[in-house]
Amino acid sequence: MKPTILVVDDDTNLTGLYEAALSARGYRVVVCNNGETALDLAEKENPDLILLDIMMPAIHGLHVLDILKATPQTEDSKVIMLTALGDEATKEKALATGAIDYIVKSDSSMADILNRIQKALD
Amino acid sequence: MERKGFLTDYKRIQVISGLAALSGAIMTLIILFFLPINYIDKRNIIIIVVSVIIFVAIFYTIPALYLNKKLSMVSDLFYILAITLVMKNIGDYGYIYFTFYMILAAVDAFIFPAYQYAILISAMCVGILVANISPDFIIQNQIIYQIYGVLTLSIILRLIARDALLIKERKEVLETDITELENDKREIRILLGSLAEGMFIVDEKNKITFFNKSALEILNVIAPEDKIISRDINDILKTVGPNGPESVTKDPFGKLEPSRRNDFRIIFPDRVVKLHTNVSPVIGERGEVSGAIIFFRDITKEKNLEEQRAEFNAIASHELRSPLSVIEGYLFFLLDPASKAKYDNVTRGYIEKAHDASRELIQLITDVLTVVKAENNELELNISDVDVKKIIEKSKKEYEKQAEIKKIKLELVLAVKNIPIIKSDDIKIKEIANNLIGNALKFTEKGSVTIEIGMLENEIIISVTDTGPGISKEDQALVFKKFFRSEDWKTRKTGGTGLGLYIVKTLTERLGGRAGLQSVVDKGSKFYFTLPLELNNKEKK
Repeated sequence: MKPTILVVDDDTNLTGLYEAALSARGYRVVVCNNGETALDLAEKENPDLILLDIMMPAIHGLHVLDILKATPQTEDSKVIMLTALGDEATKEKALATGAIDYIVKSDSSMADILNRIQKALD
Repeated sequence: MERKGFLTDYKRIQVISGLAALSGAIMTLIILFFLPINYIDKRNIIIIVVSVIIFVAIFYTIPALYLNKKLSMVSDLFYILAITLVMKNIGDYGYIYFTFYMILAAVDAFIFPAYQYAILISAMCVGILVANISPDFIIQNQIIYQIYGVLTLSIILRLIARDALLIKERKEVLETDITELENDKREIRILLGSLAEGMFIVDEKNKITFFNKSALEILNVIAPEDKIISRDINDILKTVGPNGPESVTKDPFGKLEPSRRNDFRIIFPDRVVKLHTNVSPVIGERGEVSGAIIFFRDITKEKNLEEQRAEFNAIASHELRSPLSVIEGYLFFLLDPASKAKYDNVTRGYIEKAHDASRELIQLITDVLTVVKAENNELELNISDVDVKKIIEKSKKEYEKQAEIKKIKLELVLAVKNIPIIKSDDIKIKEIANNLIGNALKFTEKGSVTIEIGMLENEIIISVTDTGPGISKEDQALVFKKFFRSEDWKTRKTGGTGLGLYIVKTLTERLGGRAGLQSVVDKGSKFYFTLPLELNNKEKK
């Protein structure tokens, strides 16, 4: 069965890109553009991996992560933070809360990001 | 304490007191003249007056005017000696006077004025005793006794006048001193009041002993001075730290710290003022801490600007990076075999160029942000156990494709078998390595780029050697400077911001290492950086 990846980012260009790139590589991709929907989808779709942005309107990504990790249905799902925030404090916080990886969008090339996603699912 | 101009003052005092003695003598004579006393021969009065004038002139006024203090004291001695010589005619008792007057003269010249009166009075008592012993003698030697009495009175008057003048003089001096002190104090207050910094001085019990105008202005306190003095500093300066209220003078008295700087907030109902405080202990002559001096200034504006700048940096990095990473991602995807998109070679070439450019732009933004952070001392380290070999291998891997295209041999050499695991920041090391490897590949047209990991005494050394154009001696001194790009490099039309090597140096130093190079023109360059095996406290932060 195809692994399911949930991509959460308020930037539709970015979610579009990941939808295309990850689908082409054989994943089942679900996208959404805010934290609230992300929490719904995380429960409904039971994704193998969640790519989670941090700077989003309404619910902050770290808060989404908190809820995911505190909810029994979703606490086991792998979460990779995919963000433009490069500061160490946020990174440490995210990793301490339970994210398995923290990717700074612009510090990593698309090739690198895809590798890290694949690694997380292996 | 000898004061300047004392001699002049002393002369004046001597002259005036001499005149006082003279007028005293004359007044005594006038009283004697008009008293209906039989035994005074009024004809003697002229002789008495003349002798007093001569005495005063010779022994007081003239010496005081023309001699210095010590000599005029000697003349005082002579005066008394002269009187005593007159007394000698009285008979054997004259020697008693001689002795008393000599003592009086010594005291007059060198010791406290107060004793003079005591001795003088004793001398007079003895004189009266003598008079009682032989009244006949007194009657027989009337004129001598009259001269003696008048002179004695004149001496008393002179001494009284002189001392009164001296006391007055001293009082004036003291008053001038006090006025000067008060002026100084006022001036210091004005100066301290003009300081933009607020200032409090507290004693060892935290009670305010001094403050300036700015202190009250910054704190927006309207109160008379006596309502502030001796209040507890924490009632006036209600500083709030990151974890709630915090005393500005928190234990400055136990330790002799030279000074302690801090940032605090003061919370008003309608606004928050941010303060920078500097507290120094006040250290007494014997090295004891007797209080503290607190300087503080309002840094609300600076702090807000700083926060705005940090916010701008965050926005700039977020808003610029996000769309760029989308562009880079789509371009990558277009080239990704997985996308199954088909192009002719020319189109593929265009897309590749656009993709390269997008990556360069992302690198540029990252570089600029790194530089901004470095210059604001905001480079955070994320210290963990680091396998340097692994990081360098990873970095090399990223450049393999580029080397392949340029047909340059890219290899990694281990000078020693085991590279120890160290405490450092892996991301920063990778950024340094990427910069050096990227640079080497950029400037090398043919040949090889060799990465070598070796060990020095207390450091790991990573070097990148290329067979590129090399760098001239003049440029070698400049390559690590910000925005440096050599003329050669420009004509070669290689891209870059001139930030890469500056970042290499800044990051290496932040990690406690050194960065440097060796280069020979037309042969190639070897750039290296080192990482300490043990981090210093400075870097651990």
